[in-house]
Amino acid sequence: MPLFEGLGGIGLINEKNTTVVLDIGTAYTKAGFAGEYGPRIITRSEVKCRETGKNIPLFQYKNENELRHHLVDFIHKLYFRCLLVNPKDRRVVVVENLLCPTVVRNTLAKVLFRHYEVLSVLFVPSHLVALMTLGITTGLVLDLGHKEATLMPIYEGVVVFHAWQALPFGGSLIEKSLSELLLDRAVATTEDGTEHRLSSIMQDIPNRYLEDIKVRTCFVSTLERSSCLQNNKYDRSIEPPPPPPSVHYPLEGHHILTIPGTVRELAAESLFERDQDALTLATLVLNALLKCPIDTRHKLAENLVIIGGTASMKGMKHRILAEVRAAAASEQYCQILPIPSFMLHHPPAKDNYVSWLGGAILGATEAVMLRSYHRDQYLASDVVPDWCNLSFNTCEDRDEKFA
Amino acid sequence: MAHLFQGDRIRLLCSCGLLKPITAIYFCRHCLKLRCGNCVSHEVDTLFCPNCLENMPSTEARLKKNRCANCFDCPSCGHTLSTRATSIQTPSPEDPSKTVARKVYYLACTSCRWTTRDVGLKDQTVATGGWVEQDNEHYKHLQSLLEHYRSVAQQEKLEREKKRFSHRKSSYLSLSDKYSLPSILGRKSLTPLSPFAHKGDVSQTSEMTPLEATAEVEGLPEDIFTEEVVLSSVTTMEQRLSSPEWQPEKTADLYPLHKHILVKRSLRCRHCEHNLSKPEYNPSSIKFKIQLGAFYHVPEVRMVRQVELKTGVETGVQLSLCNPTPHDMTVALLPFVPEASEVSLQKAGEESVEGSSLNTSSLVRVVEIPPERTDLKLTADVALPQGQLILAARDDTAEYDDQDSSPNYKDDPQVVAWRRANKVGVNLLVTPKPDATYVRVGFVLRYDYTNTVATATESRTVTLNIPVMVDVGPVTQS
Ligand SMILES: Nc1ncnc2c1ncn2[C@@H]1O[C@H](COP(=O)(O)OP(=O)(O)OP(=O)(O)O)[C@@H](O)[C@H]1O
Ligand SMILES: [Mg+2]
Ligand SMILES: [Zn+2]
Ligand SMILES: [Zn+2]
Ligand SMILES: [Zn+2]
Ligand SMILES: [Zn+2]
Repeated sequence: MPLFEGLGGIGLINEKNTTVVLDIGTAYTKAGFAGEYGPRIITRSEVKCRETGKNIPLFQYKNENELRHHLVDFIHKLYFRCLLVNPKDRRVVVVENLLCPTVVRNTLAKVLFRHYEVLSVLFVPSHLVALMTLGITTGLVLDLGHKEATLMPIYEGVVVFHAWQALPFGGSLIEKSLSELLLDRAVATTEDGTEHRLSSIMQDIPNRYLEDIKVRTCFVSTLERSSCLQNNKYDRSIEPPPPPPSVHYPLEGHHILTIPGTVRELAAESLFERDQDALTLATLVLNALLKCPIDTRHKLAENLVIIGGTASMKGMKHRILAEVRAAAASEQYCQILPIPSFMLHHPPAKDNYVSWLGGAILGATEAVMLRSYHRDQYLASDVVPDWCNLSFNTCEDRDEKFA
Repeated sequence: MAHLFQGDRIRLLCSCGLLKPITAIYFCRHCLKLRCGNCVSHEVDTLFCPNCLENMPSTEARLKKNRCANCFDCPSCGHTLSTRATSIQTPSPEDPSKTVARKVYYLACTSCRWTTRDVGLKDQTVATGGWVEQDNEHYKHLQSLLEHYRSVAQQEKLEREKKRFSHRKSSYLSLSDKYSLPSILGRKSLTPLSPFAHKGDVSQTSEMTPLEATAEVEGLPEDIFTEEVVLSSVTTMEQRLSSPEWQPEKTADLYPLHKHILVKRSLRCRHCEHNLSKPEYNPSSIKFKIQLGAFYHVPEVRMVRQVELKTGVETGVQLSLCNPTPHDMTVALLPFVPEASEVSLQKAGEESVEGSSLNTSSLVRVVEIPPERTDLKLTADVALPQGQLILAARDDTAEYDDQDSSPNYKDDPQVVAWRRANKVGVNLLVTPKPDATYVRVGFVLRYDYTNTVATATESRTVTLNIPVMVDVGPVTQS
């Protein structure tokens, strides 16, 4: 590929053509420039619907065409409202989830190359680049995003891809159980001062309230309190711990919602309760370790990295660590997975933009030139071969794609 | 009929395949085709602060992270902060026993009443500026990381160049061991792919201390189970994300935000690279240097009045056509066949591109946007007026003319319902198809456009075909 290699000659740290780094999440998009230490903006991944003019989630689409329109409008906003640079002839680094659907990735490439004529695109796996912010090469990276929790072990810089784990345990699950709890337990005071059950006033609570309540009032309880509460469910004689104080929350301007302390404490419990498949965030971590080669497990367990907006919830990281330790000591795992210690990293960024920061670091190096997929290559074939992705560099995988 | 140009009722089919109202369409005088926001190339033209209306050069904007140095937004509600002056008593420098009045400044929000004093920021002695910028606490670490990875990548590049001739086959494609932690051999070949790989001589790469993991993490604050939550002291997601690098969780940590600047955009035709729209430089001007709106070049179609439509019943729908150009034009309405017209449109476009000497060299590679698939289903049969008519040129002085100019044209009364200055009324006969609940009809507007940028050798008039879709209205069930 002579063209590809020839690009190395172009000066990289050209101030005028700084690479743009994008991390387009289901809930929030982080955008900024390579070589900077924080994103310029973190904005909701929402677009105005072309037909109705209402704001809708970027990734809510009926078909590929609609997704493309969403991405065209959204990226237009990113460049001309937030980054204020020309997309044309500029490089882009896209931080992507390895489990992101192919249609999203192909459509994004189409939009960037065809609509915005970017010079090159480099897809980097979010879990892998998150490690770059720490300066380490081995880690078990758990991304607690909005839609799901995804986990990817990385050993000596190599993604142990077959050990990946994912569960629909993200911010939206917390919001869902928060909504159920509120409708079940909360009361609202109306303008005339009378109290009503919330469920008698509204059938469902708008998402923006749920997120606001979650972020501002909820927290993740400790393991001890949680098991105490659990036991109380089955055995009423066990005294439950006193609930945290309730919160008065103004709702839609004319109701005052009283959020019981128990709701604040319990909203995030769904991430740790065993469902039918007995899967929790803790088993997610341990199952991934089980799939990794034995001689890598200790080192991975000592290099846990938890990223993603939901990890910012008060008490979340503490609880995960406690749950993982408890589960590892449980009958189910103590024999098959003897791990002496679990340790957690503290990335030099807010949880929600750790991956972005990794992309911004990588984007400021020559790697952008060596590994990016160039516009001319794309236009010749209209496909994004997976080898431009750092972790999909194998022959088979490419063949699978074309098969 | 509230909208001046009936934006959503009458739409033109842009050359990219999207239906847009005439107000959202441009007309490229060089390609002689319709263009819209979807199929033109957008560019940043000028950067300016929307509050102080100062222009900002792009290099400066990069340095200041697209924010105005002097204007601030409220971190609480996003409104613009204003500077307040007040005087305080301070000990006089000459005689400490006396006090003198000194002017100090702080920032306040006129909307939510937030002030810099609320969060304990010290008042400034100068009216503008002086506010200390927040730092990223991880600056040092991140800087060393960046240098480290840069040198790693640099080495990778050098090594690759060395290998270039011996290893013709790219190592990307020669791996067999997939994802799994590879054998020694596999690892060797995978390592260069990793951005972390310390390749070759590690000592050459720059110093970097990796961060350490800890066994314990910060738990919940002690008092969370007993302390009341004061909602107003906890920031919302919007407040946090408006300073992405810091994301303060308490309102006490909010910090004035430098105002984000805005851009004026210019639009360029992707095919001929001519500007279709270019704003004036001055931020306070809302005018354009170039503005090739279709509104100035394409006859405007409007529906004259709303009619009642019944399934299977032929109804007359009156349209008005208006000539915006200073040249007479011959107009005809032709039937619209969705598939066929698309093809012919494209053909016509290509020919005109080749035929025109105005276009920039054919070396310019045009990146085509993906074809758009628009639903062009018509829900009524339409009988169009047969034959041509002449649309008089726009004459801004005609309004003041008492004389009626229409007798000059020998109009076919079958075609022209009425004529007034540069406007003409035509009648269509619309028959809603069975099961249609909403009537949409289409036709191709064929007109002779007088090319104002053509060279002397070319004919100055060209015949253009513009597909027009009219949403006539709902069908009332009979
Ligand atoms: N302080 C906080 N407390 C609780 N939840 C939070 C907090 N900050 C962010 N979140 C939640 O984190 C989620 C967003 O995280 P993030 O930006 O990592 O997701 P994303 O990248 O958009 O999603 P995904 O990675 O699943 O595509 C949202 O559900 C948001 O409500
Ligand atoms: Mg994410
Ligand atoms: Zn168009
Ligand atoms: Zn300003
Ligand atoms: Zn304010
Ligand atoms: Zn053109």
